[in-house]
Amino acid sequence: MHFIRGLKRYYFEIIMITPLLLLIFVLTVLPILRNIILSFQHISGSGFSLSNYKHLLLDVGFRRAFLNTVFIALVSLALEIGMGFILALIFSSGLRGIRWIKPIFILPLAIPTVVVGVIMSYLFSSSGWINRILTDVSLIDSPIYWMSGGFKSLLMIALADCWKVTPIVMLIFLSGLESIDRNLYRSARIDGANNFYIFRRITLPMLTPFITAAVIIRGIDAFRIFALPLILMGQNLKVIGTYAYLEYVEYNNAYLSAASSVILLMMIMAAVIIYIKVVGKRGMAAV
Amino acid sequence: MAVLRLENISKRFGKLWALSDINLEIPDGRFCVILGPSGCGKSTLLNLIAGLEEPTTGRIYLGDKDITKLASHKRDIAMVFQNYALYPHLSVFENMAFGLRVKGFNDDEIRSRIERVSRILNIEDKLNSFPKELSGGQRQRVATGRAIAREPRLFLFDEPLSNLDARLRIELRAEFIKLHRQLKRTVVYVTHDQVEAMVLGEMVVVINDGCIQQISDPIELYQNPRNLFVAKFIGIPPMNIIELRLIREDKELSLEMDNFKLRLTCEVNKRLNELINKKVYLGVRPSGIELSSDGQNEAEIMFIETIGEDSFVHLRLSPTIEINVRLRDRMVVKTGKSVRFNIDFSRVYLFDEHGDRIYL
Amino acid sequence: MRQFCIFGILILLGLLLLFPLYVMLKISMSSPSDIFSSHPSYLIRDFTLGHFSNVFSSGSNFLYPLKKSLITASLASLAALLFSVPAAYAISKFNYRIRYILIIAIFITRMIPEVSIALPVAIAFIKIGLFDTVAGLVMAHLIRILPVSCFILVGVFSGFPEELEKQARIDGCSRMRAITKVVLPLSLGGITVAGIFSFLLSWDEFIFASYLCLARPTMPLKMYYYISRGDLFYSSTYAVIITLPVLLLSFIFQRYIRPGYLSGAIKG
Repeated sequence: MHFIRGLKRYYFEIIMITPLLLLIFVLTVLPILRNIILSFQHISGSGFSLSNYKHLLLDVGFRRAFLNTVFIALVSLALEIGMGFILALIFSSGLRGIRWIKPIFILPLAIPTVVVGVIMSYLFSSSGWINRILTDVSLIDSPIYWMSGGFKSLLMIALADCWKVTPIVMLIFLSGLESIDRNLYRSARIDGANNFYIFRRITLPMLTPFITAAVIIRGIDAFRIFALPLILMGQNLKVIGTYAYLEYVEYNNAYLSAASSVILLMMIMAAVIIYIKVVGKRGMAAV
Repeated sequence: MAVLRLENISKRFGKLWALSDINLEIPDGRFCVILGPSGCGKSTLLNLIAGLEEPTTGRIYLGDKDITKLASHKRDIAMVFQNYALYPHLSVFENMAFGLRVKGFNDDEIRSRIERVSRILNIEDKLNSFPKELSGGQRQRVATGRAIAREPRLFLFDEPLSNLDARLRIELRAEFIKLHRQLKRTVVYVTHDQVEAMVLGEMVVVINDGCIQQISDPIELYQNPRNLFVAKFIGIPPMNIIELRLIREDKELSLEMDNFKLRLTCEVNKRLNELINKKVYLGVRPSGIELSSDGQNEAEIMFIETIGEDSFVHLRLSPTIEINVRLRDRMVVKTGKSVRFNIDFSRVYLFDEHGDRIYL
Repeated sequence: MRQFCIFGILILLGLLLLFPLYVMLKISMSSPSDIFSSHPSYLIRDFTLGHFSNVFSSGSNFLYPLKKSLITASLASLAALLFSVPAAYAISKFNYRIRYILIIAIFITRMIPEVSIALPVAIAFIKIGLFDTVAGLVMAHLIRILPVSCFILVGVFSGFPEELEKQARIDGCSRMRAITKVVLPLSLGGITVAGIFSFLLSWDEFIFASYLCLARPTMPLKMYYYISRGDLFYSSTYAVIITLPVLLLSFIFQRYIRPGYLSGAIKG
């Protein structure tokens, strides 16, 4: 009864939104389901099979890709949130002339991720500009081989991601800081609160929803990282995204590729759910 | 004929009843004001009449025609909104022409109508301006003009003066009265401002909590409120409401609370008998009380308010009862002093504990 | 003094942020001898537009990817508007609860990794002959674009004054006509912005393109091809060509992409 009344009240809106919902169903929901089905089929036979997952769990390459993904996601997210927060605080401080510098700090946001990958490969190559600057200021004697794999390469990818993404995080925090009523600061100051106390008792709690939004939105993207590791490291250092891609494109194994991307999807969902559980309902207001 | 009739109208949003069982008939050509505090359902009622929402139950008739299910663009009504709702991308002329063009009038007819209306409303020189270039009062005039140019069977106004400053409000109020006299169309006018309702309304419908509280002309509303809500809501400053207990001593009835006591001088009817030893509310307007040295009761003066020519004295009768009294004949009083006063019993209203009027 | 320090640090940091972009420009505009010297200079010593003229004169090698990218982005942005304008209008009209559910649902589609959609889409497109076509790529790009264009447009329509639409309906417009005569003309700015961002999202898209193109690459794919061959000059020139429109348009319309549009859309 309730439902029918809703249909009657919103019939016009329902007509308007149906095409989009159908499109999303065909282009997103169906492929996801198909992907999950693929992941449970074996390359040689039909029927339900767990062999893809078994293979992945035993594959050293996949386990490494898994750890790489988690490492890059955590490091880049921590750097981005931290830097974004500090920059947002600086830019909301209202120092004179500071708004002239702000555009520079937003600029990387407008550079396509693929292009970021290309530029970073110029910078981080062994004869690249990062090594050049580090030698010129005498921080290192011999070049660092950023692209040789291992920890250095993971750090490189995290830093490259940081360059592109920190502006977005900064903008999220800035809009949060701007939403705080200035009179709250004034009355706190009249009440005798010092800067640190105001920050802890007013700024931080009121920013919580924005921090949640930033962590969730950017966290999801951090796990999905694809273009940067593909361009910078290719076969030499895989994350789950590029593992799934190369498995399909290079080795033509759609089933294994499907299984690894399902694992990536599960990881993202688990991370979001855990985060929401940890910060609780309070932080969800903005998302 | 544009008689507007609402029968058993109810409107529910989710679990909330915005309106329940509204029955109302507005005769042709009548200026009807719907008055109530914000959130009482009066704007919902207007949206139902306009066809912007559909009632959950009940029927709406305009003339002889049932328009309950009719889409709003087929209802032949015009509406003026609080924030004017002028199309910002159209000039004043085009704003007024919009509805006429949709209805398919030819250019000559549109031009002559708009010229006539803009003369009446004094906006002839603004026809080529855009809404953002106009002052608030001018915008309101354009919005009203747009409604008039349509020559609809029914005018709806949704708090049209609320966004204007006090002086403009008084000016436009007077203009609405003149316009209505000229046009003689049925008007439904929603407001929360009782002064507007008193000045404009030929009939006033008071709504609260989605229910009609009283339908009458303005004077009646002031002099003869049907229940406690209307009594409290109408009148500036508001009526004094005192919670008392009806007591019987021998043959006499009196109202008592703390050390305050008021003898009832009227005949004891059946209704009063039923209420003995129960809670009742006594209402009396500030002008219904007189300070005099031989008064029945005594009270302490807490403070005095002087507003222009009028002065009001706030009295404390007991620790829990305070009343507001209008001073007559430039009496000299001092804060903190004790005075005696009489309540004019012919101007007292009694209500039972549910807020219904007890007629004496 | 403290202020001076903060400014100093900020400017230094700003220069560091700009440096990667400068390197891109420098490589695309320096002669090979300048770049490949044993100790290359920070400044552009030997300026040349030769790489650009090489790219522009490379014929179909350059023109086909450019054409494919432009056509795909134009069609994708038009299609995105076609679907998301009515949908966003509808979302902004629903009550709080339904609106919240819809927005969360659309947001969830944004959190799915592209690789897990691109794979089945590629397999299906190979079967039905949409692989390596513009039409196929447009559809794939819609997956990426629709949530974003929806969020922008829900913000646009939620901010639209309700009375104006009511007024139009009382003035004799049906709901559809009120939308076409009043709501859409007055929201044209916001719709344009949504269209431009849709265009850009398709223009620099890489993942779906790499799954769905083979013989006919898009601009980003072409650039990826050059960088994986180690061709500095072609890759940097392509990078500049891809970046320039994104940079320009993003900056012109920067104030419209407040990251708060997500929460703004829900709070209405």
